[in-house]
Amino acid sequence: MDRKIIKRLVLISVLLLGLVGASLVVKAVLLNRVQVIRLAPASSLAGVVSQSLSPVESSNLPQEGEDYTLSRTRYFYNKDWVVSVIQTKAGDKTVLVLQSKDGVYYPVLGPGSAFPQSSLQNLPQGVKQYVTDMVASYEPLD
Amino acid sequence: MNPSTNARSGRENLIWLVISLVVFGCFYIIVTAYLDRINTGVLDIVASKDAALISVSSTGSQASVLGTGSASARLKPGTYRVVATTSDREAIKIIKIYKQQRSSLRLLLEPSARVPSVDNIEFEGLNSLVDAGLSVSQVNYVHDGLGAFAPSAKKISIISSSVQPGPHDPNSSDPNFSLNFTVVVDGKNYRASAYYTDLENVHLVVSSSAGALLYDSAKPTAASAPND
Repeated sequence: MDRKIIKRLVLISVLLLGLVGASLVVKAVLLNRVQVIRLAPASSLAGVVSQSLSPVESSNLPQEGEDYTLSRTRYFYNKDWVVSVIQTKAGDKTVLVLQSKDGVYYPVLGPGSAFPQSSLQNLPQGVKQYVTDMVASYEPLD
Repeated sequence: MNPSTNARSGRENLIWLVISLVVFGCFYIIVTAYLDRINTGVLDIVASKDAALISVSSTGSQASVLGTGSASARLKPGTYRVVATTSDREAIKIIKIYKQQRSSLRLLLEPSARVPSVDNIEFEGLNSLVDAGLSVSQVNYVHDGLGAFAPSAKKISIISSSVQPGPHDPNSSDPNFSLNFTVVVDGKNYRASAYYTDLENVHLVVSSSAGALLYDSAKPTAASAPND
């Protein structure tokens, strides 16, 4: 290939690389170097449940549809309480109980498949009944 | 047209195609960055523990990890649930994000919210009931009954010196026995009675110092707990 053409190609490549670099700098300046977070759509409880579960490999939260699915979700007492069954890819089923305080859902029980009776004792009657039908309860040995 | 001219023309076209693609890509990067700038708000989060994992979610979306200890993120306008967690502590806050505005959030991690449980109550003086004649299973029942009476209590004490058997005629064949005692729930005194006929079952009743019935283990929902 002609030396002149090679020189031209190198020059174009350098210019293009510079253009890409400049674009990335402009982007960083425009966004103040803050990452844009786009949350993928999911079911209404997915985010709350994922945030209630242990992280995967310490830096990622389990994702609905990918790491687990939700079933038998039921709301109680004007949506103040919600119970849902979490099924992992391995087939394990656990129950999670959330309570809303000032519009924020807090995990109060689980995820688990067996709970001490004392933990179930103070749930509202309807929630307790629904949870008791799905999990084992036990008396801890002191 | 000779072959060398054709080859040169093809090469030129390829070069211009590559240049066009790269320029378009750069233009796309800058335009999307500008749109993200004008259509998002910035959220700065600092957790009280450096090791806390910070995540964000919103209703109808997956959750995403932002970082540990502190993090900044650009988010679309909306309401978000921000959580910082360690193995035994957590902080949960709801925050609204507005376009082109910067919001700050400081998360103070506290022990995880739990349902009040009898396991979290410190009991004192239960042995005095065993000394007075109740079986261990009956004492366990009294323990659970007092826990149901005051589920959010921190400490429940039975005053040993107050444990007295209720009236019972030694010549009577009546199988009913009782123990009366004073129970202190977080510093407040209550009167309690344990009624029993055998070594297994027991019926617990708690009253106020003035004698008003507050708890009856036979119908626990009929009376009111001290926290009500």
